[in-house]
Amino acid sequence: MPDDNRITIPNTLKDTYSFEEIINLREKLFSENISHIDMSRVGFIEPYSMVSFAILGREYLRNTGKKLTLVNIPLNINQYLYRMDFFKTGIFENTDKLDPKYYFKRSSLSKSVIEITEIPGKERESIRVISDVIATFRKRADNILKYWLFGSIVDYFVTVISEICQNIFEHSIDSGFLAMQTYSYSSEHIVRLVISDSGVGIRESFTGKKEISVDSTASLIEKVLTTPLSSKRDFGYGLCQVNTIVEKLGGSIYIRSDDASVSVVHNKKYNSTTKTFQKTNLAPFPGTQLSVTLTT
Amino acid sequence: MEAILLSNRYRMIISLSRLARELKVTSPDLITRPMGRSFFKKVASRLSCIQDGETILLDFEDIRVVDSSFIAEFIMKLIFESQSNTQRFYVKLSSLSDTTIMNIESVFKSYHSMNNSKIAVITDELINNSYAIGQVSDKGKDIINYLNINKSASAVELASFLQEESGYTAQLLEELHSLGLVKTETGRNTVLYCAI
Repeated sequence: MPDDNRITIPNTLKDTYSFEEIINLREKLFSENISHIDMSRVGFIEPYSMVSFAILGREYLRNTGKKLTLVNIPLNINQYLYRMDFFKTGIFENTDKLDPKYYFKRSSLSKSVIEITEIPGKERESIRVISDVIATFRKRADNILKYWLFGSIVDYFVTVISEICQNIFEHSIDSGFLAMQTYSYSSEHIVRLVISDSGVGIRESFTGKKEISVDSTASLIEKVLTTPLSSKRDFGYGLCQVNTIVEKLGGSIYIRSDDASVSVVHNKKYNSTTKTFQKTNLAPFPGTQLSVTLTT
Repeated sequence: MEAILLSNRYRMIISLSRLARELKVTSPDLITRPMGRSFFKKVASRLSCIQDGETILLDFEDIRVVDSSFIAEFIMKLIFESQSNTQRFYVKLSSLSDTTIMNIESVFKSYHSMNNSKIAVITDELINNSYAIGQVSDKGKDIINYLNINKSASAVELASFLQEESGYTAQLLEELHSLGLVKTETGRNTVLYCAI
C-alpha cells in the first residue's frame, strides 16, 4: 500500500471541538484519493467523534463507492469501536479484526452505552427504531445516568431522544446515527447523547422560510434553540424543548451544521448562568450533528 | 343542582394506555408526530357520537412521557377540535407525569409566543396551584379553582368572589369559556358557569 493513499489522523477524537481537525482533513480525503486511515495516533474516542467519523466515512462511501480502510487501530480503540457496534454500520473496512477474546463484555454492568444505531430517513421505519432506542435506553438508564439519577431525568432524556431523532426524518432528508455513553475523562464523569445526520443541514432546511432572516448559519442554529421555529410548519417545538430540558438539567448542547457550530452551556453551579458560543466559517461538513452533555 | 348533574352525566373517558394497546404501541411513552396523528384519528372517529357540552377525559395513567410532537398532533388538535366542532365539547387531562406536564406547559407557551393566541387545558389535579395548564390569568385560575370546589356559580357570585366589577368578570368568564376551561349551563333564568 503506497503511503500517499494513507492519511494518519491526529489524536483529536476526544471532544466536539478537537474533532474539527478531522473535519479539516475531509477535503484532502476526497481530493487526494485517500483509501486508508491510519489510526495509530488515536488515544481516545468519545461518542460525538465516533458518530461524526461514521458520517464522514459514509459520505466517502457514497461519493466514491468505496469503503475507507482503517489501519493500525490501537487495541483499546478497536475494543471500544467493536463495543459500540461501529463496524456493524458497514461503512469502514477494518484490517485489524479483533479476536473475540478481546471484546469488551456486554454484561449488565457494562451497559452504560447505547451502541451506534442508524435512524432511518423514512418516517415509518424511523418511528420503530426510535421506539426501540428508547426502550433500550429505559432498560439501561440506571447505568447510563448513574451519576445523575434524580427526579424525572430518565423521562427528560426520553423526550430529548424522541425530539432530536424526529428531526432526522422530518428535516434532514437522510438517515442518521445515534449513540449514547457515560464515560470518565480527567476527573469528570460525562454522559453524552449524540444524534447526527448527513442531510441538508439546518440552513438549507429553512430556505423556504423567507420570513426568517439571520446573518449566519450560527445565528439560525441559536434561533431554533430558543424560538419555536419549524422549517416545515408554522412553528416547531423540538429543539426549543430540548434546550429547555437541558437547561433544567444544567447540561450543554452542541450543534454543528454546515460551516457553523453553536454551544449552549447551562451552568447550574454558578448562579444558573447560560453561555452561548457561536463559531462560523468552519470547514463545511454535511448535515447536522448534535450532542447533549451532562458532566458531574 | 341541575347543572351539576348535566356536567357529570356526559363524560367520555379515554384511557391513553388502552388506546395505545389498540394501536399496538407497547411503550409507556407517547412520542412523535405520526403516533400523535394516529391517536387523534382514532379519537376523532369517536367524536361523531359526542353530546353537546360533553367532556372528554384523557386519562394518562401508566404513560410516562408525552413529547411535544405528540402534544402538537394530539392534545392541541383535540383542543382546537373541541372549539370548532358543531357539538361543543371539553377536554380534561388526568394522571399526567411531571415530564408530560412540563412538555405541555412548554408547547403551550411556545404556541402562545409564536401565534399570540392563548391555549390552555383543564387537569384533574392541582398543578402549581391551578387546575389548568396554559395561558390563564391569576383571576382566571381563581375562578377555575372556585368552580372545582363549588361545581357551579353565576357570574354575579363569581364577581363577588373575585371582588371585581361584573363587566370585567363577564369578560374573563367569556375568555375561560372560549378556551374550554369552564362550561355554561342554563339554570333557572340564569346562566351558570360550571367546572369541566
